[in-house]
This record gives sequence, C-alpha cells and structure tokens, in this order.
Amino acid sequence: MPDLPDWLPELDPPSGGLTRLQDAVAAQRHRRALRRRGLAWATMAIVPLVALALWLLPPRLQQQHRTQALVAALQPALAPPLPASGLRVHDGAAVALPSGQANVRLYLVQTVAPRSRTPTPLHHVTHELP
Amino acid sequence: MSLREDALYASYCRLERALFNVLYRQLWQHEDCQDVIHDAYLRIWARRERITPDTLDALVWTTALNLARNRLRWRRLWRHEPLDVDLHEAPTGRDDDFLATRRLHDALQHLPAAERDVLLLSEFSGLRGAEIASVLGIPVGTVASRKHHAMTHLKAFLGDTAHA
Repeated sequence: MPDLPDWLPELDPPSGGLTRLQDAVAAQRHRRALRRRGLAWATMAIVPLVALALWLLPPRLQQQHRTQALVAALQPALAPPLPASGLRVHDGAAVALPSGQANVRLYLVQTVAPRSRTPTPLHHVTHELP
Repeated sequence: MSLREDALYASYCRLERALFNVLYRQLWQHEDCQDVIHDAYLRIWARRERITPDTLDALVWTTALNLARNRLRWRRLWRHEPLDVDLHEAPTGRDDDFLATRRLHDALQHLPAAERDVLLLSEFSGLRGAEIASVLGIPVGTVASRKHHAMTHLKAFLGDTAHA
C-alpha cells in the first residue's frame, strides 16, 4: 500500500491568483477614495448653502413680519363698519368718500379673503339713503 | 498596528500553494479553491486595522477553512454536486493514476471533517501541531489523535477499495 505522500501529491495552484487579489484590493482602494472625495465635496457644499440660506432668509422673514404687522394694525382701524350707514363689511373695511349728490353716499370697500389673505379688488358701494 | 498591503501579498505568495492543496482535497474544484483563497484574503484585508502581521497566517488558515466549510454546507443544502470534479492531479495521466485519485477522493469524502482538516493541514500547511491546534481551535493532544484516526480510517478505506 502506498504512503500518504503518494496519495496526496502536491499540486500547483492556478496562476493569476495574486494579480486577481491585487486588482481587487486596488479596486477597493479606488472605491474608498471616491467615497471619501464625495463626502468631502458634500461637506464643502453644505457650508455655502447654509451661508446662502442665512443670507436670504432673514430679509424675507422680516418683510413677512412687517406685512403682518401692518395688516394687523390697519384691520382694527378700518374694520368697524360705519354704524349709521347700516353697511356691514366682513373681512375688510369701508371708507366713506365724498359724494357729489346729496342723496348718495359713496364708500370705498376693501375685503380680505380669510384663507389666502389676498385683497379683493376695490369695490365702490353706493347706498341710497332713504 | 494595522496590516500593510505588502504583508498581505507576501502572505499570499507564502501560503497560496499550501492553501490550494488543503482546500482542493475538500472542494475538488480548482475554481472554488481559488475563490475561497481570494475571499479569505479580501475578508482579512477588510479587517486589516485589527490584524497584526504575526497573526496573519493563522487567521488566513482559519478564514479559508471556514469559507470552505460554508461552501461544502451550501452544496449539501442545495444537493449541489459539481458535475465535473477536477481530478487532474494524476501526474502521468494514466488510468490507474486516475482511479487512485478517484479512490482518494471517495476516501477523503468519507472521513469526518474534523479528521480531514487535521490530516490535510499536517500534510500540506507546514504548520506544527500547536499551530494546527490554534488554527482549528482544539487542544494540541487532539491534533495528534485525530491525525492518527484519520490515517487509520484512510488506510482502511483505501485498503478495502483496493481489494474490492
């Protein structure tokens, strides 16, 4: 009966194994470098974006606040309807305008839609006196 | 201290032949063996921060043997037997060499995996008993006893088939 070395002769591995490993390691390194570069670009891009946002946002917010304050201040001043005229204006205001005729009163009425807060076009309302 | 690239390649050159011979007697497929060796080194490279050069070779052996075991388990699970077992090791290409290789293949397939690992490592790896014990995670005394049992079983099987 043959000995173990006769049963198990030493074989040569297929060629190209080391090259394959080197290529795989190089590809991994390349992928990692790409990922790192992408991360660096993203970090660099965040800084100007934040700066731009900080530069653009405050004036817009300030303008919005100013508009809201103006609307809030004007509404109570103009909102009460003219009691003697019997005219009621919802979400808006009416101002009496000088009229050329004695039996005609002229009002400038402006209403604000409750949701959109977009002013409606100006209307002239005439109300004939009894 | 992390593993350097040149140390990885040096280890590959040092161990490739031994790894191939051990793994081939388990997987019996050239391409599978090459893939397992390749994957083992890539896995080690991925963990290079925690690996030192003095533990590298033992880790390569452990990783490669585990990957080969996984591959064998996968084959059993899916009842996958390669159609073309590469029995190219017959040096002369004679019919009796081919038959001897075929008998060896069957005999090694019948050996328990633990005994087969010890036998192949002690035959091809160049590792000493203590190093084999460390790679396989078993006591040093067990290495000797498993090798003895493996040889007995192998001789018995090959003797039986030779007489059959």
